[in-house]
Amino acid sequence: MTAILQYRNFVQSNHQLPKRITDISNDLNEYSSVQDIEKLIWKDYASETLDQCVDDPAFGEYIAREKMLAYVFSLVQNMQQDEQQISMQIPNQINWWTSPLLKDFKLEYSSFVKVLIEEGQERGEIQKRPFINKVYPELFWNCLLSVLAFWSKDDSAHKEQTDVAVEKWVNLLFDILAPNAIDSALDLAQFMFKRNFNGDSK
Amino acid sequence: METQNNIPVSKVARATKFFKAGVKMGGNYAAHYTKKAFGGGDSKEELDRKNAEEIFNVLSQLKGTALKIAQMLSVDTGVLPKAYAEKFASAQNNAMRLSGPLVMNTFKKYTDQSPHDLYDSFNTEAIAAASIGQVHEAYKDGKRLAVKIQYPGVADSIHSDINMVKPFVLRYMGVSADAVQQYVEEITERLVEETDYVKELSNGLDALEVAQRHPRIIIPEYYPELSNQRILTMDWLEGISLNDFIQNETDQEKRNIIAQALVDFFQDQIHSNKKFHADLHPGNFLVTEDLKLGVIDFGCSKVLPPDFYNHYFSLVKEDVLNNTELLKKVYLYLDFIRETDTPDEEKMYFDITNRTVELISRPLRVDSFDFGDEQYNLDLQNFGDELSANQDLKNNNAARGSKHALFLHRAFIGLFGIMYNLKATVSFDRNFVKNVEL
Repeated sequence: MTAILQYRNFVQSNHQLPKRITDISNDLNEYSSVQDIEKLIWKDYASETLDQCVDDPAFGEYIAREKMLAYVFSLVQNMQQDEQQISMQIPNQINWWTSPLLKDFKLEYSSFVKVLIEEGQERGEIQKRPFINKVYPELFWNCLLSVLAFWSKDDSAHKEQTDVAVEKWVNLLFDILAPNAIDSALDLAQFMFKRNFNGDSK
Repeated sequence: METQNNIPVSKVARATKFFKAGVKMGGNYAAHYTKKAFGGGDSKEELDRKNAEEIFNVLSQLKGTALKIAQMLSVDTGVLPKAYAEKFASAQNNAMRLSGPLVMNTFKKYTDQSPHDLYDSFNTEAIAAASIGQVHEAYKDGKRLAVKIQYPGVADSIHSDINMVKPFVLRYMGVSADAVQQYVEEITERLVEETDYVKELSNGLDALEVAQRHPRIIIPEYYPELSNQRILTMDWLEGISLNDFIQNETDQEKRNIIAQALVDFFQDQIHSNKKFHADLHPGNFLVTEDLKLGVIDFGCSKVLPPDFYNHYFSLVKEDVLNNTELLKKVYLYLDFIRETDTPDEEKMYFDITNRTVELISRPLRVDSFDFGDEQYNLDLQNFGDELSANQDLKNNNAARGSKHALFLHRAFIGLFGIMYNLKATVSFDRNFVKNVEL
């Protein structure tokens, strides 16, 4: 039995989080603390989600916006089974979103986002913008955290309101990243500037 | 792509929308009266039309149940002027749409499987949209299927939608919230039921039983193993929409056949099952190549309590209509007149109810009735106008009638509307009368 499963079983039967490794089992020597296992669990949500997405034949057909939607829906579904355990983990952490607990989770997610942004830029769904380009991955991270925060407080039946929230957050994110009026304005400004600079306007 | 990112979901956002409509409506009235003071100005009807447009623009952005409630109120109660009603009726078919991944997510959530596992093929692009869901095409075992998927969060927002539409209606009717409480409850109950596709499936199966006695009626087969609260799978019915049929069919003989099929089926539902399709809107019907009427969407079905049924339909019995004492008892039971009425009030409501009963039951009292006859339509309209002009009816006492009558009247008005559009001559079977026991 894997450490993740043992952890899960412990929470399910004791309705509390393990404090020491030995609470869970005596033969988990390769882990130095409970948090190592917790980090692994979080990392697993992200990698499991990516596997599921890649295995889904429909996923390949999606545009970047839809890929992001599919990823987040699937991630939330995967976390649903651990709702009880996550709700206990989160209040334990002040500023849980910056806690080391999510470090590997964020890395996994970021590798998905990196590919997604590249694809979105190739397809013209995401605008390449000098300087700001670098913060795109952070925007994706914040979008995901907003969804997770909503999910953890959502008490609607079958978490239906989270579904609505996912669509709205992802749509907002992609609307911001899509080529829009500001890009056209910058483009125009650049054009005028160059024209004047080159002295063509005579 | 019209995705649902444009639908304001939070209560605050929705409330702001309504507030805007209110301000604009006030603005239109102000403009109207200012113009009037200087002699010119729009007619009252023109004003109603402008307001309907404003309200419509706001409501059509809200979609979902808010739109449904507005539609119900416009059709059933005559609360909204004609101009509003027309606008709302045309708002049936433009709604939001679910993204492909959300469709997949809904399947995973409610069936634990992907649609590609459940069906042989499944089209992730929706083929049609409705106010609370959208329809996809699928195939299984060589059969073409229609799969209806509900928008998430619809059921959750019903109560808040009602609470926001209510003040508008109350202001227009000039009544208090208490006076319409029972109707609001009735509407809420029907709407909540409509969001439960398991309920709709069982309604459809009940209707199927009745339809077996009517060779001209087709009801799609439902698949319980491929359905749940939010997903409903049924056979795909081939045919043209009833609206297209109404507009394009020139053979009156054929129009009458379709009309008669609907009348017979509707009557049988009410009188045998005491449970009927309460959403008689042309969008819920289609006509097949071999001239049969397909009935879809059983989301809104109403069950009549036996006691109410017997009182209500005793109003077509001659011996009841001719016995003032008995008639009064029936009206009291049906809440058209009240013990607390003053003699003047009682006389007024008694008279209004008599005329309503005469109008609604007129087609039932003859062997064959021609809905193409303009006189009947004119009489209905004039009576409606007369009622809305009657100042005595604008008070808290005016909201009347058993709540069970609400959806029954809605169905009759819907039925007569379809009959009128078909210019149909039909006959209503009166055999049920002998089973009505008072």
